[in-house]
Amino acid sequence: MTPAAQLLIGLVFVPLSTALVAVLLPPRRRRWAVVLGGLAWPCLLVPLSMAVAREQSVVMVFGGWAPPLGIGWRLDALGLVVLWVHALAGIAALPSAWRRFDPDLPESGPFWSLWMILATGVNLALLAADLFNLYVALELTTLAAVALIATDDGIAALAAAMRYLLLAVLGSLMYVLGVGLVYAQTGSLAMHQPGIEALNNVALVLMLTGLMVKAAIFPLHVWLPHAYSNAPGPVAAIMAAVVGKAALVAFWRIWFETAEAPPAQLADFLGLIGAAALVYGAIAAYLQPRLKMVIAYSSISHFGFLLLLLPLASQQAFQGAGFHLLAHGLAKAAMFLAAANIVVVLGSDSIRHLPGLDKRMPLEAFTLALAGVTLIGLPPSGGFTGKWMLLSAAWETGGWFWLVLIVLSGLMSAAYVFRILALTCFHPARRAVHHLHPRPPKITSLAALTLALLAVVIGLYPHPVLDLLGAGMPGMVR
Amino acid sequence: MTSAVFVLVAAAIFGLGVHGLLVSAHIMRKLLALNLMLSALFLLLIVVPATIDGRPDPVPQALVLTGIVIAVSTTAFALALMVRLFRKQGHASIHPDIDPRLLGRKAPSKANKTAQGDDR
Amino acid sequence: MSAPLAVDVLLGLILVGLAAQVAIGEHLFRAIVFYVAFGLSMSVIWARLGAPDLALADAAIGAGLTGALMMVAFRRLVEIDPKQAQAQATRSSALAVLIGVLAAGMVATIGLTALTLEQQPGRAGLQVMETLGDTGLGNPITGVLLVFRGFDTLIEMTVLLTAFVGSRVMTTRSRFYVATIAGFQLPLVRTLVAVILPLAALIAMHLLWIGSDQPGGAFQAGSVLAGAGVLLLLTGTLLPASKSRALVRLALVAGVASLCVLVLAPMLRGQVAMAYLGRGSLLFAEALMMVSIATSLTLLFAGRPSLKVGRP
Repeated sequence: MTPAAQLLIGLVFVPLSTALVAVLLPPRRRRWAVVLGGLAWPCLLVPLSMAVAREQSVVMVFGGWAPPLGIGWRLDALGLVVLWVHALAGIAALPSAWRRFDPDLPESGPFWSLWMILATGVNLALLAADLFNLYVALELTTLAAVALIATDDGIAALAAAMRYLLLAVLGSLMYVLGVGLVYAQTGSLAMHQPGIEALNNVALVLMLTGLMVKAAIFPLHVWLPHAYSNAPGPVAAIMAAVVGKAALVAFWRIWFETAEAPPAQLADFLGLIGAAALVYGAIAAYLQPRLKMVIAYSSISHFGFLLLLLPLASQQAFQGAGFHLLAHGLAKAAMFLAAANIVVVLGSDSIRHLPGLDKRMPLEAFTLALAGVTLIGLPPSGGFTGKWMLLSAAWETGGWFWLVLIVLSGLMSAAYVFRILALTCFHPARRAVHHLHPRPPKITSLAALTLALLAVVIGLYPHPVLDLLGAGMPGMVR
Repeated sequence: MTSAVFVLVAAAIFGLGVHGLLVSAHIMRKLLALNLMLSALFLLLIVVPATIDGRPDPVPQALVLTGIVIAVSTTAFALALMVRLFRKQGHASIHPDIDPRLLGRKAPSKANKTAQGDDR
Repeated sequence: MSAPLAVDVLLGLILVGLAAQVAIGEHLFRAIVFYVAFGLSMSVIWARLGAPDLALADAAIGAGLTGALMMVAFRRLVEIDPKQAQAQATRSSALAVLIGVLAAGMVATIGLTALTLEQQPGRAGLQVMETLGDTGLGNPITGVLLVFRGFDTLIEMTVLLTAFVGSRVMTTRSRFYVATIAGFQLPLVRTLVAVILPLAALIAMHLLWIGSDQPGGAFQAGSVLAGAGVLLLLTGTLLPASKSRALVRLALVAGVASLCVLVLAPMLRGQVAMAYLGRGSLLFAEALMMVSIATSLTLLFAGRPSLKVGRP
């Protein structure tokens, strides 16, 4: 096995063994083990990034049994990008989780174990090169995520967790049916199936629909707003940053790698669905009375935006979409962490309480502003780079509809971001909130701010990431 | 021919599950319906692929076995979540707009809410 | 095996009838009982289709343990609020029926079309059968589960562990659950436990041992043991205990840990991850998996993180 392949194993086994150790330890000690594990596995990303930069991808096959007999893993640029988001968001969320889930709380024991299990599932979903392996990875991720949402004992959180679980099972059902049909057609479960004629469209649609549920693409998004807004802060941050994205990445992979010649009408149809999600999410975000709901609907809008990669399939579009994944993931995690602190101090995230936030909680307000810049896609932020690449791709292929849509998405994001920011800077004569709760440790605010800053800074130096993504996806048309 | 019969059986069970999922408000009934749909799917996965030397293909069998274990894990967790939700909100449903009178109880009052209190 | 078509049709009708009772039936408890019956009929169908491993697994896990978990959850609902537990509120509508029929139609079309297309046996399956001899195993399912696609099994075991840890999120905050329904003052119970416990242990060991060559394996063995565990909880021989014990946590983790060892140990010897290490290694992993499966499922039934011996 090459050293790089051994490091791949580490990406899954470091979080997994940390989770096992966490379960074995008495509840009070668990968070130490998990923090160690949470800081350890990202270290693997440095040598792995260099390996991917050199060789385009790192592959590994279990037991030496080549697919379709066995299972393979593959780390390519796309997976690497999302892994970095996961690593950075995970580390940034640790201070917030440390404060929120201290050992006196009964549910903190299972929380820490579940945190690492979620990390295992997400990493695995990004590495999987086998359709069924992807299924079990997504199941693990979903179950851990639902349990993490339920660590908040409120009725809203429990109901949101239950709704997410039921919908996710429904999505899995469709996905598995699709996988079964693929096996019946090709006799193989590997994601990349060279040389077969067009994949059975029914199987493709089933798998994609299942993944759409997990990635919360409109109109199958209904679980997301309540799940994100009622989950504890660090949980919402990590979910927004990576859990939905893992399903979206799987969606892209199946579209481009597995189905080598998907019909163009389906691509346009999915692009339209993305457009609908984009518009719906943005409008809904503008109308929400709670900050976390605004951020959640913004996620729905951006996932729709990312679906535009399908009709625009080109290397440039892929670079843009991949970069957008990075920037958006960091920005969203930052926003949810900031919102978590706001909820702690103000007692609620209702936007009625936002006026004067820039004086009360300047770090959080600045974080929201910076992250908002990335969401809108203002230069020089990372969000701008992603949007610009997609715009160029649309321009070159003459896709005017998509062009207009991308510009529109920027405007609509601006609408709901400015609404929030304007409120925070507005100072009414009479302050809305009377009682401020004790502030969380400063490091939680700084962690969120760092993420937001990163999202902007990568826009200043985009070339390493863009070059990494430059190889495009296998099977991408044009 | 046998395969066709079982495909139709699987389809019927799947349809019944979908109906049950849509119609029931109680979470446990939804879980039962989802389990029916899963079972129908597993049946399809075994019946459709061609046999090898007269026996069913071992790969789908292993997949279904994995699926059964994942299904029981998910169901067990969902049941625990349901019990907790029931204890907190007084009814086992996730439809926010459900009319309490449909569930056979009075409209919620302050007294009812405190009765459901926390038991940390 | 050439059973006449009529038997298959009959089995199918029974299955659909039971499914109807589950989906449409009046009382929730009745629906759960019918679900258990449905699961057992599925086992018969698996056996009919030539999949004995699945028949064993579905009977034990799909019908037995799922049914037990549902029944105990129902009982907890009843303990909390007897009237609400069963509240119906089914909004039967023509639209739901239509969607159900459409869904059934869609599945039927997909299935029948897939059947009628020119079918060759799956490449993966063929390769499994060809390579099975190299591994020295006789049961191709065990081969797929533990050798060729062993990583899926590792994650599957992690899912089971996650279900337990996840349920702990809920159960750490709730009142004490008691699962006992019949104590030892009933003479039949004493005999039942005395007979079933050793029998279950024997059957589990047998299933574990022969799983390498015959239908059987860790999952079936573990669920038989879990069934025995459920019986012990129901009769008060074992009681749920709130204080989590290290030994129990070890039992929960052992299955996943043993599969991790299977993946990582070959790397220490310079081989590929999860390279095949021989039948002994599989038996080692399966034995620990059996312990984990039994412990997880029993604890999920108990609703508490540990068990203690009750008064015999």
